[in-house]
Amino acid sequence: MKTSLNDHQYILYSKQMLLADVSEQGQLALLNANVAVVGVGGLGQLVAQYLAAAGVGQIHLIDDDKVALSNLPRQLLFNPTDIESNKAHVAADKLQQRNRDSKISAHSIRLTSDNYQLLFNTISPQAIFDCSDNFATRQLINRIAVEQHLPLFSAAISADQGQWFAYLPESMLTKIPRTNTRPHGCYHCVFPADSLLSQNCSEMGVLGPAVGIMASMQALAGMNYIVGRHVEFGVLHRFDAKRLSWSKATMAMDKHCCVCR
Amino acid sequence: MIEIHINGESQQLAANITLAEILALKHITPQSVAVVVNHTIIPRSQWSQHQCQADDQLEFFSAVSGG
Repeated sequence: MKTSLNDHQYILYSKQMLLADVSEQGQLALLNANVAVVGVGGLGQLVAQYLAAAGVGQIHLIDDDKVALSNLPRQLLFNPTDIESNKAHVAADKLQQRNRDSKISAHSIRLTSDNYQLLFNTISPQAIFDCSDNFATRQLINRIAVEQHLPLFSAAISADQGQWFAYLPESMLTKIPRTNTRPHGCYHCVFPADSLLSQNCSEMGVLGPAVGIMASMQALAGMNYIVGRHVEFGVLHRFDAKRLSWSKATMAMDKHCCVCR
Repeated sequence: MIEIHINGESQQLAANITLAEILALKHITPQSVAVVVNHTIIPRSQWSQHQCQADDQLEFFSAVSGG
């Protein structure tokens, strides 16, 4: 565990530490943090860049997908020579070269109900970033957050509709200082597993900056949590990328939820 | 009758109408939407009991899952 910064780190992270409620203590929290990023596509490649550049000490990148030509306009970490290579490995290699304070681990697997326990018991993250691209994986990540008592920072976008939220399992509520967070609904409380999506995401278009906005919100919320700032858990934020407008709603708990109750 | 605002549009509906009845009235498949009432997402399991009040602000929206 790191308890002090060296001269290089003081300069490197000075703009973050100039924020009074981040300071050296918050930077040390980032350097000692261990997080999992599930999905290294449009959302995940940007979340991972922000976290690594901010000095998050351990980042686990989980994705079995390969870089494709059609990814390049919005997945700016990748370039044409990366096509057909595993996204988690490419991202880990590039981020590791740039960010020596972070240890970036690549897990080129598709997260499933059969493999998540072994993986999460091995990597023991303190937070999950859901950057996945399908509904089934989102349900699974929500279940992992509940079961493993992990805060979840989740974002999604299809076409011009973005959604993000931070979720804190009820078992974690007493462990977070300086918060008045009340029990709130999980992803399954809002979208039960049998929910119907209007279109498959692979059939939908999207503009790069719209994905970047959602990833930035997700990364920012996660960093605020790690440094000890207040985070508004249990609120679903919706972004209309055509009108550039936001709305939000409280995620009420479903007392019949088969995941979090 | 009471006035309810659905996705920004005012509508006259029967007093004590439930969320489930509104969805049926509008031919919306329940599994296809989440429902916000006055800035709170109401879990689907409560829709058949949740009675709307005059001037309620309702929004329907669907999940997105791309990343």
